[in-house]
Amino acid sequence: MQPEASSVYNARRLSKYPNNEGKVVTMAENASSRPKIILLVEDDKNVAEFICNGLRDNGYIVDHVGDGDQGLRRAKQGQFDTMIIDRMLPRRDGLSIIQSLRAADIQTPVLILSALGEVDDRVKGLKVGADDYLVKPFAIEELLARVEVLIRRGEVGHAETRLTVGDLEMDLLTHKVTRAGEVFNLQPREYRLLEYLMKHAGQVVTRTMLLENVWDYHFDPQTNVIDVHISRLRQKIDKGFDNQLLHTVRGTGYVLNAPE
Amino acid sequence: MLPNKLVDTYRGVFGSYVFRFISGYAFWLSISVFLLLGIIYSLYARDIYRDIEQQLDYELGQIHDHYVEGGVLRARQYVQTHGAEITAPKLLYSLLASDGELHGNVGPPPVLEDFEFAWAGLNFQTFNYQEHGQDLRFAAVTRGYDDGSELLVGLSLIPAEDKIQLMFDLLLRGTVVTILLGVIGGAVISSKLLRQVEAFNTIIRKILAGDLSKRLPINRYSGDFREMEININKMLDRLQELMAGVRRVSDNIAHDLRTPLTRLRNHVAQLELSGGGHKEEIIASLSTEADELLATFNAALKIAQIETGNRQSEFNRHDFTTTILDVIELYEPVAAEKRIRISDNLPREASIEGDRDLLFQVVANLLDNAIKYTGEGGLIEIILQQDADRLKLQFRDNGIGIPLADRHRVFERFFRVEASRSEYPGNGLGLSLVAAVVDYHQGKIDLYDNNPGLCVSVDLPRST
Repeated sequence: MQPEASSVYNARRLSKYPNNEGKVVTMAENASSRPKIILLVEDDKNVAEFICNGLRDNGYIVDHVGDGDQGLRRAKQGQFDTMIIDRMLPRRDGLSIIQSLRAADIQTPVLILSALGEVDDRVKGLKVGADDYLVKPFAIEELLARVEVLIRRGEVGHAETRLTVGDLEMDLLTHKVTRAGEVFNLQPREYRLLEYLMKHAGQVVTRTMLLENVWDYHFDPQTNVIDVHISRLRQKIDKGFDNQLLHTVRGTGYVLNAPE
Repeated sequence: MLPNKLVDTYRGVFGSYVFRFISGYAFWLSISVFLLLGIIYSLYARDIYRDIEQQLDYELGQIHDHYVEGGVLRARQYVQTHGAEITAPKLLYSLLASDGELHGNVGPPPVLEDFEFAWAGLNFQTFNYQEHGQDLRFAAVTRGYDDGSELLVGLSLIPAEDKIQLMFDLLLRGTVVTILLGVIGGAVISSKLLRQVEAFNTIIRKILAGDLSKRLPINRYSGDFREMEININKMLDRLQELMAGVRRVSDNIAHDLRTPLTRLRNHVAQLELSGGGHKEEIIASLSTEADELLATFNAALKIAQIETGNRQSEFNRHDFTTTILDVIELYEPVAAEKRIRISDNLPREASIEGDRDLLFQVVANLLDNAIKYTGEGGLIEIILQQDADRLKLQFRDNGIGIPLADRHRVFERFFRVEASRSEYPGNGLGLSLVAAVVDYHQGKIDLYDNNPGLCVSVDLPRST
């Protein structure tokens, strides 16, 4: 299905020149003025360069090391906003780094990278204390979206009972969703979808992130089923309003954004 | 110096397996024939000598009896009357009386020698006796008496030794003939076997050179060779089948990836030409196309990974009904767009031990397919039945179905029903992935006609 033209942003421009449009500000610069520092532990030079470039283009500061021992040392010494750690590393396994970090009570969010074809131990990875898991090869937009979510998670600590994006409001206790006074009747899944989008307002969320977090399944849909759910949700919360809140980021996913 | 070719032939003959086989065979054959005939010979000879020994004992006893009864006179009388009957072997005796007088037909007392085969348990000695100028060998036993007299009885050994010699000659000739025949027979049989092996090698060399259609000729006679030939041919059939499969898959990959790659390439070319107005649109569609290609590769890799079974994903017990309901819920809006009704008939709970994500993928792919190939306003039925150890999942739709001829091929990677290639999007991997996951869970998948439409039946064990 084709999203309406007005809600389509170009992912590349959006991420490279985040402040040009004034409408949508994403990625690193939006949360606070301090640039975010990311530790990357990856032995494959090409992959590392690709990730470094992607992160730096989006305003992150990247500290890159090439083996497990060094990675663990650097992770223990430095202050990082998030860490990206490869599963298979020379000298020390990625999972073992995370275990050591969690044992030393370092709670920095960690994203594990694993090559397709390796033993699929998503569950094992999450069990030892990783926060997210991404299988190579991936699109850089997918990695950026996940890193952004991880960094924000580190910042938002207190439990909220009310989410607000522009004039859209969600009461987490009564499950009441309103926009400018109008009450929406949402299906349970639509509610969870909107809740996830509102919790990550201003951040780009990918289709796989939605499948993993809203539907709680990790699989590859043959068709973009998620698009249909989003357009249904859009029908409810955006139809009849001047400002569109739910936008499609072409080639990446979606973003729920308050108008300026 | 010999010409090279001759040297080669020489090496070929004497270095060959056949030559070594036949020489070894001849060696062992000779040894066993020698041993066998040697044993026969010794047993025969021993029996002959044993006869002599018995006869000697008998004669000694007779003469002794006569001597004791009537003295030298009776003894001589016995020998004269009885000894004349014994011509072969000739009977001789001598009696050396106590007074030193010598009686008998031997002449002076012979010099006794030990018999060379005494070790075989033969209790007699031998001496040489001159008759008509001929040296004749005699076997002899003696007996001494208290009064100092001594009795000797001798029997000619000549007839016995002639018999034994004859036997020896016979056996020697027999040995030579047996070994000769054995070696010839062995050579004929082994060269026949070798020709067969050589024939195999010739054909196998041809197969190695690339002609996979060659097969071994099947032996007319049943036996190990025939069985081996049948098995080798079966192996070759399987190999050819696999090769054809690999070839088909790579052909399909080439075919299916060429189209999007060409489109991608054309868009890049367009990007160069366009002044800038459509640039963003083109770039966006470029990345969509690249994403589709990547998704195809990832799906192919995932299938390979599941098929080789090195996923080691965690199997755990969960409720399959919930999984199906989640899939239905996920796809319901897609179905609603085509006004397709999804009806389900599921047990309240159906626990299964398996990979939850992969099983979700199976149900999702099946429902995705059903929606894709069912027309506007169609109906999809999802039925789950369970018994003690199996779950049976059925998807029935009233869509376009799959032609009978293609039904067994839709599980092949990249295979797409010809008619649907252009009309419906897809990469031809959905059902391959389903089949791989079902197989991974040791289940079974079948396709039936739903008249009209398709019925997919998946049979899964509840625990593996």
